[in-house]
Amino acid sequence: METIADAKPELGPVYTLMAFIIVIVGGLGSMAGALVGGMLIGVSEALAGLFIAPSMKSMVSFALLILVLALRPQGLMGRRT
Amino acid sequence: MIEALNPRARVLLVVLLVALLAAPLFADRYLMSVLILTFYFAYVGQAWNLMMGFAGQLSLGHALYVGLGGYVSALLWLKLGIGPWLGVFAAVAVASAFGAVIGWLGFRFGIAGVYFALLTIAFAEFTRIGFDHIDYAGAAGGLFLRVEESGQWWNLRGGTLLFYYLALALAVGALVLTAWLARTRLGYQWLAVREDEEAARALGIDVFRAKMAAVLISSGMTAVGGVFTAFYSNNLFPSRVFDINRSIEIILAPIVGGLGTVFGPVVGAFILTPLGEMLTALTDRLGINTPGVKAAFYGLALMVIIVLRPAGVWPWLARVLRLTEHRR
Repeated sequence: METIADAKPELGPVYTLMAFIIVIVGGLGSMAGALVGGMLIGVSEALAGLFIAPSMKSMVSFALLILVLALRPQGLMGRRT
Repeated sequence: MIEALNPRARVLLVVLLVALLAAPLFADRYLMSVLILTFYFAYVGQAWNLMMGFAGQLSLGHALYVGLGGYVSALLWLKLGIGPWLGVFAAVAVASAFGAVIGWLGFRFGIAGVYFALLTIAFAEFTRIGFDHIDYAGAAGGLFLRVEESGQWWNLRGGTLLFYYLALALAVGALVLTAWLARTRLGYQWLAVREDEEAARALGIDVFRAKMAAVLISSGMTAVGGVFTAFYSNNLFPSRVFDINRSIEIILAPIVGGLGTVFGPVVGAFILTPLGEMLTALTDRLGINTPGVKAAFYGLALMVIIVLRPAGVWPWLARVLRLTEHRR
């Protein structure tokens, strides 16, 4: 995800997918989870862009999502149903 | 209810098959290329339909298996000189391994529906970005396969005719496989899992095993399609083969044709692909530069189908033309 992006019709999916990932990582139905997930994804992407490669930073978000789904499928702040 | 074709429909099917077998005699190159594309989408649509239509597991990342299949076979051929007829086994193995990991992650905790779909998207995107950075596989610059002058069918190097019959064989093979699977114990287990997972479990069905089987078969089949498309188009780019739009294209034919039916993906592919290609050719001829016209058409077709025939075209077509015996 870029900090500066052009406005174009195909702009949406990136943000939708990112929002989805944040909610799943944080925990669906948990407001605090969305905040925690957003911070976690945002900071880790920024760090990955700095230390690994800017083009690989969204890989970190996907890796986080896979990790959370594997270890804690209800999300970080979510409750098990 | 399993669709069983009545004698009239069987005759129709044989006539259609003979017509397609003889098509290269009178079809020009353009029509052949459209038919190849149609068969390809019928094939991968069938593979996806096994997972979604029969087992009820939504995957929005089938481009992952197409891309992996294509990359594995192309790399084996380019770097090690192993031809695609052998490479396809490695391609299926690698794609199924990815499918197994996704299935294991998802089904172990009962991640279902939208969450499972998201997991498949995440894996496809993850792999796409990964391949963008693997220099051995050409990174973002992609891979190019040599075009041999003389046809070498043993290396899948050849003209339109070779790929036409190969695509036809794949589409027919997938159709036969699906028709057979639908009548096996596993096929019925899939339907039970799709309708009600808890009830299926209560009946003593190993739900995890049934879903895993669906993912493994579906991903392996899709990888074969990936091998085909890599050697047909002679190039591979991570941003193209792993793109989420490819995954969406794969699922259109089964949805339009009829989810969970044996003939749905074929009917859907024969409706969508020729119309989409004709639309592209038409706008090209008229000199209108509209790169998104095919996508817009597919979107429109999807909306029309969902509003008018939510179960798909095939169940309606079969009823109107009275092609199936109703065995309940």
